[in-house]
Amino acid sequence: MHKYNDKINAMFENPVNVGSLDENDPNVGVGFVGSPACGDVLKIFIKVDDEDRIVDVKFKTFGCGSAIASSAVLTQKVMGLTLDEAKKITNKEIADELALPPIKTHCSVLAEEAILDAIYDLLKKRKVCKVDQTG
Amino acid sequence: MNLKKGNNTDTPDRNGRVEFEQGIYLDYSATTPCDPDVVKEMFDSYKVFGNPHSITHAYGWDATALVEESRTKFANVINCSPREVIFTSGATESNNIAIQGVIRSRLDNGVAPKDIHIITTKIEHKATLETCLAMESMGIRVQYVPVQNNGIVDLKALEKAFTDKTLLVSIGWVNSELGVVQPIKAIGEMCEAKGVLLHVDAAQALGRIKIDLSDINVDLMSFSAHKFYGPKGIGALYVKKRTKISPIVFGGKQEKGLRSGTIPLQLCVGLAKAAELAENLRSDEYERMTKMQKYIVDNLTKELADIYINGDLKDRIPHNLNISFGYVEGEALMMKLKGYALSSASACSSTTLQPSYVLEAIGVDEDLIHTSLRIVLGRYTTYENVYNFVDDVIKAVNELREMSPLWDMKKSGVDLKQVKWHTH
Repeated sequence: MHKYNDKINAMFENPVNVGSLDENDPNVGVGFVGSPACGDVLKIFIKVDDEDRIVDVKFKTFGCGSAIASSAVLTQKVMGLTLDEAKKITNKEIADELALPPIKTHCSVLAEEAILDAIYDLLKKRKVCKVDQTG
Repeated sequence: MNLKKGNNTDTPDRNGRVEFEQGIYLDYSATTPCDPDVVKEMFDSYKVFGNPHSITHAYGWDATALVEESRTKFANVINCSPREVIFTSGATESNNIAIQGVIRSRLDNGVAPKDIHIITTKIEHKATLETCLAMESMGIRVQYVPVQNNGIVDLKALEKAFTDKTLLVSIGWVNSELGVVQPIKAIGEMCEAKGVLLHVDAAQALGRIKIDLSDINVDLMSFSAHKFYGPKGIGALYVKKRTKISPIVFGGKQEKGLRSGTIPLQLCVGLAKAAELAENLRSDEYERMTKMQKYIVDNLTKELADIYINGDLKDRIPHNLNISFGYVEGEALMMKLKGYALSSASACSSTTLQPSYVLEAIGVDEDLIHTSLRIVLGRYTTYENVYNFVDDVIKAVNELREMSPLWDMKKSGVDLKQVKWHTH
């Protein structure tokens, strides 16, 4: 096991925003990235209001200490942002916040991919809903 | 939770003699603390400072006497002649001398590299595998035989691997990751029948299982003192008399010319004392570890679903448990268990991000390969440690599963094998 810094340890020990949101809610987008064979799987749930602002966010992660800490930091960072703002989050911001060791950079990449996947999921859901309404 | 704890007693004279200020140590296959009795004997021996190779004065003679006394003590533990023991820096060097040395002796006699064939397994320690790899680059033929899913060498596959050019079989007796015990006696008989040399890496074996070299047909055997509560930096190589072997390091021709370099006298004293102590305590420790292992297995399997023991449960040392905890990543589990010193074969806990080649070789499912924890008990592990550990593992696994998306999927009946993963 790596000897982590206090920030990573603290976030691992008391991670914020662990949990899940109703996947069937049309205002909830789900990001799901990684694989068990690679050793980390991150599932993030974002809920937006009418102005596309993220009003709730939860995550569940299978992964190492820095994957869990990166997931939690991601949820902290996107809370309150609009989808356009959230799209701009980079893995570097997460890695810097936690001072991730270089070998663990991929954990922050996974977090960036997860938020993009959640936004994509939300937009896809809306498109389907709109088609349904007009059709 | 009502856990049955039984009337178990620890070895009282060993308790509390080593301080564990940074957590309960459950990584006794990585290394062991040097036993205080060993430290004392080494300390006392520092008054002898001569070079054991100085033959012109009493300082040297005293040193030689102490080295030879240590050699005899160690030989008695493994039941061979003192003349068959050479001191090395540890099992890595012993493995290198054994494998490279017998190959070199053939090369020295004009045998072409392509006419030398050696056999090993896919789950050996890196000290063996990397040596074999280096030999391959010289043109030596190496065959890596697979092991069964329980980690035990498949004797039929091994027998098939022999060719008329086979010179040497190199195999570890107790696997450091899995704790499985290989059938060395049977392999020795097979090698003897075929006229092939057998090298056994016994680094994880001494003090755990009985080693009696008069009872098995082994030509070369490697040892490392720090694995049996001795000092780091010394090991030994048993070389059966009349074994053809050439040196790979050259110099003052110490250790019958096979291992040049001044013998570290105090380390020899430590190795011998540690070996004697380990052998004296072996059977009591085996019994104690068996009870502890049973307690851990019984209670974890009772309280936790989806846990799998890697490696054969019967043909293994009771000191080792290698367990995969489904849906929980190994490094995160170790972080939850921060009061304990453990190791995991999970890729995330390694410096290379590669998962364990040993778990891969025994066919551990890719979903489980990152979820393993290696728990190794030893001389200073108390029953109290074990009871608390089991409670803490159950709590930690449950907590991590609560935050694992894979556990949610499992609970709702999703087959992880059918999921299309977004890999990065």
